[in-house]
Amino acid sequence: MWKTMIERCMQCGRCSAACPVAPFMDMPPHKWVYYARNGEGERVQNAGAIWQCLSCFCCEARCPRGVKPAQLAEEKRALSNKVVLLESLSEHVIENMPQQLLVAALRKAR
Amino acid sequence: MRIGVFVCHCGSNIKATIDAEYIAAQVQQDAKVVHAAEYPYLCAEGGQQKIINAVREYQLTGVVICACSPRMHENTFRKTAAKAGLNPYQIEIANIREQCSWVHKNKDAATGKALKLAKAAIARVKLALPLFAGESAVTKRALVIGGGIAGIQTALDIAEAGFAVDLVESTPSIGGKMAQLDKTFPTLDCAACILTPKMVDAAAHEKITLHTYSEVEEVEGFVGNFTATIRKKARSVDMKKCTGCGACWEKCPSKRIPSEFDCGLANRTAIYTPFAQAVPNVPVIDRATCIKFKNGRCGLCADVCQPAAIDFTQEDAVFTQEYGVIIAATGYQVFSLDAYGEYAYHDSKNVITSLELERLMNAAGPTGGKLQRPSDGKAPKKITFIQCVGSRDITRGKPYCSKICCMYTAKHAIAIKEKYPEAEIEIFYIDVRTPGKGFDEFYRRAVEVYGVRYIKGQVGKIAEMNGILHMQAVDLLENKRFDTTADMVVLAAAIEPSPGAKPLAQMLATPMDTLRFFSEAHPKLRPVESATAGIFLSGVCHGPKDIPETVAQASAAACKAIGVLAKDKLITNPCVAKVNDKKCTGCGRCIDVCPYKAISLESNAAEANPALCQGCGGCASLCPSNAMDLNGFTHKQVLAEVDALCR
Ligand SMILES: Cc1cc2nc3c(=O)[nH]c(=O)nc-3n(C[C@H](O)[C@H](O)[C@H](O)COP(=O)(O)OP(=O)(O)OC[C@H]3O[C@@H](n4cnc5c(N)ncnc54)[C@H](O)[C@@H]3O)c2cc1C
Ligand code: SF4
Ligand code: SF4
Ligand code: SF4
Ligand code: SF4
Repeated sequence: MWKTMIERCMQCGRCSAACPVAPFMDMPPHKWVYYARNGEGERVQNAGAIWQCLSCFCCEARCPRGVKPAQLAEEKRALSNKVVLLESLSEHVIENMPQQLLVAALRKAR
Repeated sequence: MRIGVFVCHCGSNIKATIDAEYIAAQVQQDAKVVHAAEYPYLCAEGGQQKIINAVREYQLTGVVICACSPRMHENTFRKTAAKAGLNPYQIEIANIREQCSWVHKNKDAATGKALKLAKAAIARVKLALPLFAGESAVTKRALVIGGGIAGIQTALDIAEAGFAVDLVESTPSIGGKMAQLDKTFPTLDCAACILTPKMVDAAAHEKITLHTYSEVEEVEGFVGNFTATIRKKARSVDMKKCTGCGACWEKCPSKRIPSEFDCGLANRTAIYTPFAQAVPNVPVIDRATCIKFKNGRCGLCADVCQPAAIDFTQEDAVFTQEYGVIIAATGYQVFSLDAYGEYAYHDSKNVITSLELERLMNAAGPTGGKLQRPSDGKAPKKITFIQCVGSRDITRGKPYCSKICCMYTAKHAIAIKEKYPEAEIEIFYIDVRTPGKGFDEFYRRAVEVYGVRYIKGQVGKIAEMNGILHMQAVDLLENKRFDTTADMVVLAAAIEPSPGAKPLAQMLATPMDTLRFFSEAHPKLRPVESATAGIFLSGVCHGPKDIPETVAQASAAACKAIGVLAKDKLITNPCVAKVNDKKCTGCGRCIDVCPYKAISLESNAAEANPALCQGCGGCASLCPSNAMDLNGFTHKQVLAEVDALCR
């Protein structure tokens, strides 16, 4: 599934054009897809960009080929073994953050 | 019955997956099969000769060809049979290519299936009776639906060959999208200069009858004998009296209706012709916006019309006419950009589509050909083009490449640079696609001679602030995200089939693809014929095309149509419904199911008219008393085939 999805990418760059943080990234989203497709996933894994991604999904919303660069970043973050303990967060954060954002934030925090 | 079986290799198409030798050996176990052989290419001259020789040598009374789909070569082999002195309907085709070798990988399994298909065809041919084709007359008149350049060209070519043509156009004038264009690539001739003479020729041709502001409502019949019902919408203007002077639309007080022809960039009146060179040059009253029709007051146009041509009481006229052939030429429209909020098309007047730019560049357009920003009338200093908006997009748009936009954008860039050498032009592209005679050279001229800046990349977001369009963009060759600005942005919006195409396809009982383009009968060998006999395709209604390609297809469609019209009689298909009047109870259910209205009730038994029957088989499968049967596909034959497959 994932493989056929990234095969659909035509390297148009609309994801990177849409991404609000791309100007600050060392590797813009279209390159994540490019390297993942070339079997060079570790280059994405090592990019700082996956920690800058906001999970705003602009890239996915604009992609004309139904590719999900933000999902790729999520996967790479999940694979990175960077763990934050829940108890280190304030009660206010735990109570009020949507579940999905909480998980994404935990993965992003160092 | 003496049956011969011939197994084709189709080069390696069949042979690579099916053991042809084995099939030829196995079928001979059937006592009725007196000869079986294989051959590399049965459709080739040598292959056909082999069949002819075998029919004579073994006195065959039935032939089974194991080869490609009957859609491909059934006719070829019927002719072969006839040459050998066999009734052409005593051959059967087992499709072991499309339905076997092409779809299977395992050779043993595919060979097993091919043998079953061969045995089924043998079972069928054992019960085949000789059939004799009849004849039907041809109405020597063509119906062309859609009056763009495609329809006009097709109509002119058919008329030039001496046949009468009715050209039906839904808008008040013929001309289509080409009439809206400014210059045309790759030679930059002015669209009106090359189109208007053709429009006038079509109107003046003694063999062509124009029906503008008209629509086809119903189509019945079959090749050579179609009957169409056409509605001529009330123009509210007498075409015979009107001189086209324009006094009416100058006086009409209902002036603020966005002009369809100018893509809403200018207004028209309630009584209007879409553009100055309209053919016919007779206005129509748009009743939805006419004050007289809305509340009874006004009538100014009638007061000023010297020849008293205005007729508020006119009604739609509906007529039926018979035709031998029908040509669909319904063209396209620009795809709606509603789903692309990020480009601010609806938020900023200065973000326009390429078709709107054509109007803004056109000397007869709303600005007299001066390039002005729609928001404030100022000359834009920097113009940004964005390619592939809605094309090649499987999520919000169309999966196909619209094919014309790379070229028209290069044209727009050159045309702007010609008029305003100081203007700065930026074009964001994914790929530049310019196959065609002189096309890539044209695009390179934009870059090399006119200094147009092509950026491989896309724009992700546009926002207007203080009259300037701010863009988030990416340059893929620099691998860099950057921000840029422009005074005007032009979107190369995808094109899609006209909304009228789908209902028309249903009326014509002719297939469309899932994208609502009309389907051709064969993608390579029959590109201008539809799958329905007597229906032909012309122009963009069949797929994205530029004008040269549209005109080529239009003439090709005319040529195919003339091929039918030139015949006095058409050979009819003998595989039609046949009633056994001893079994028929006269219940009449078949009458309701027949889509071609071929069945009538004659003295308590149904009767199928062989000239009308298309052999669909609906009646035969429905008849509760088993009285209806289909020649060439009799119940017995079909059941024998199923039996053979199940054995
Ligand atoms: C911005 C832009 C610029 C272009 N520039 C160029 C160029 O420079 N050079 C070039 O070669 N090509 C150019 N093209 C392409 C060109 O417009 C088309 O190739 C051409 O117009 C196709 O002609 P058509 O007759 O098939 O379709 P159309 O022009 O769309 O004509 C179809 C006609 O059928 C009518 N119709 C539709 N449905 C019905 C119905 N149900 N009943 C009756 N009538 C109906 C419509 O009203 C219309 O008049 C451009 C296209 C665009 C969008
Ligand atoms: S927008 Fe989609 S198709 Fe284009 S480069 Fe990004 S992932 Fe690939
Ligand atoms: S989800 Fe991440 S990569 Fe995608 S646009 Fe938002 S910040 Fe950029
Ligand atoms: S009657 Fe209708 S069309 Fe005629 S002038 Fe009045 S508003 Fe215009
Ligand atoms: S012709 Fe060019 S701009 Fe148009 S869809 Fe195809 S690649 Fe995109």
